[in-house]
Amino acid sequence: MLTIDQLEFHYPGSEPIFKNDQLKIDPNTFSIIIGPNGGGKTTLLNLIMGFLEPTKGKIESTFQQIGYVPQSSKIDLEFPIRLIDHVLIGCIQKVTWWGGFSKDTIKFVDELLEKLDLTAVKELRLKELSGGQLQRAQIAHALACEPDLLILDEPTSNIDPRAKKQILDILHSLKKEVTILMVTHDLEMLLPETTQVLLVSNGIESIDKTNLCHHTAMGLYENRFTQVKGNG
Amino acid sequence: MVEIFSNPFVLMATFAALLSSVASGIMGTYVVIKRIVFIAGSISHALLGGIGICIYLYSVYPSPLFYPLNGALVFSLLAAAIIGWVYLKHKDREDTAIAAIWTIGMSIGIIFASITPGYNVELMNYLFGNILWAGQREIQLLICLDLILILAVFRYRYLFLAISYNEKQARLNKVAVDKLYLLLLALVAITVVILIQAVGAILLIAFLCLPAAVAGKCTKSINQMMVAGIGFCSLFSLLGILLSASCNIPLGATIALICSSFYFILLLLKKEP
Repeated sequence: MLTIDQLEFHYPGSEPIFKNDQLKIDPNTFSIIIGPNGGGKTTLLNLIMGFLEPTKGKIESTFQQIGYVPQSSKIDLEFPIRLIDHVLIGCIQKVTWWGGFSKDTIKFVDELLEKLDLTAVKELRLKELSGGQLQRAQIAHALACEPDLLILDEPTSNIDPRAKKQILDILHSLKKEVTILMVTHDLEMLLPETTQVLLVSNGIESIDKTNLCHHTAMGLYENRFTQVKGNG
Repeated sequence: MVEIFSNPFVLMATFAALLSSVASGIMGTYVVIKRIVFIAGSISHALLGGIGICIYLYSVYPSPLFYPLNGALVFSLLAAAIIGWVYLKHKDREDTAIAAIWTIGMSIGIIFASITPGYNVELMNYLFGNILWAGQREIQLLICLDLILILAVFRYRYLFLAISYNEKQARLNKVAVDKLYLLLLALVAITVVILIQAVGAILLIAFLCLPAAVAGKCTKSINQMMVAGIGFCSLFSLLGILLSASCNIPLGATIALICSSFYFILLLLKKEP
């Protein structure tokens, strides 16, 4: 479980992004974060992952291992790494004393690649993959550490609808094994499987999913977007 | 042209160049992929401080303790430690620290060279490189340092890959990123000491980074990049030795120019998708 209590955070010399905010994420749930650009979604993820310290308040987590899928624009495609090595460094904790990986670990990684339909391209460099394959490669890298919390930052941006559907299917198949927290701009992701919807826009607001229809979400989203633009 | 290699000095220099290529191919790969070219540049200039102090001390108290390469090793490791500390604790000040370490080392080297009696040929050799100067002691040192690098990189290959690819994700996977980064910088410092005899402090960045960068354009994985980097380094060194001996031009500058030319030719020929 992850609990955020009375969270306050601001970057040096800037206005607070979060002020007295609360959040709770139960195990084996599927939460999505929506909100306008600049509203604090990625900052919230960085706080949860421990890369930023709250100015006030506390973040407590019982999750032992976090897997993280960054935005595709943050991936260095020029980095000379094959897909198989990219996934292997996802389970770097299993590196042996001689610096390599055991047969069991390699088998585990091969199975993971098979599950994500990446076996055929495992010898390719990341920059040789298609947009959908690249996103699945990021998910494979994040899952390689066998996380109990999987955090994804806009995993379906810049990919075609077919690849998007494939990612969604993978995430829904993972729902029972791992807690998922995902930032997205794709409101069609508000599927019945989603447990919790969080609107992050200079604060965290939990939206009652049962009363939420697409138009309501769109309205909230646009309303907050206008507010943020107005503040800026 | 081949008869050039019958000269024992050239033969020894070739052997030293090939040993330097091993270090350059391996560590150059990390310098390129981790984008720490200017850190390597700073270390390579900072170690001139150690060389200057040792040349001065040797002129006053001739002792093996004050061999210039010993001073170079101490100063390069010190420079790596300071830059690493600044990177880990004050990331926003890293570029300033790199420049400060760069100039402090060079300034100390210049001051001590100026108070050392007589004309300082040795310091010039370290500045511009003179591999023809390599003797048995230098070859033994190169072999030892190459072995240290190979063993360390073999042991930490995936860990170095993890911190080079994405530090954030490595931290989430509970990798000791800070310690590994400092170790990586220490290995870069050792490599710089190995290469300084071949190409000199001023031209060293070209020999360390460009063959690896060329290799990176033609390979798929980091292991292939290292092997190809060693190959390109050896090729550029041999070409440099041949050209330098044939035309009677400085070897370090010749090797640096060959590296740079190959890099730009490859950039022109290889179209990115």
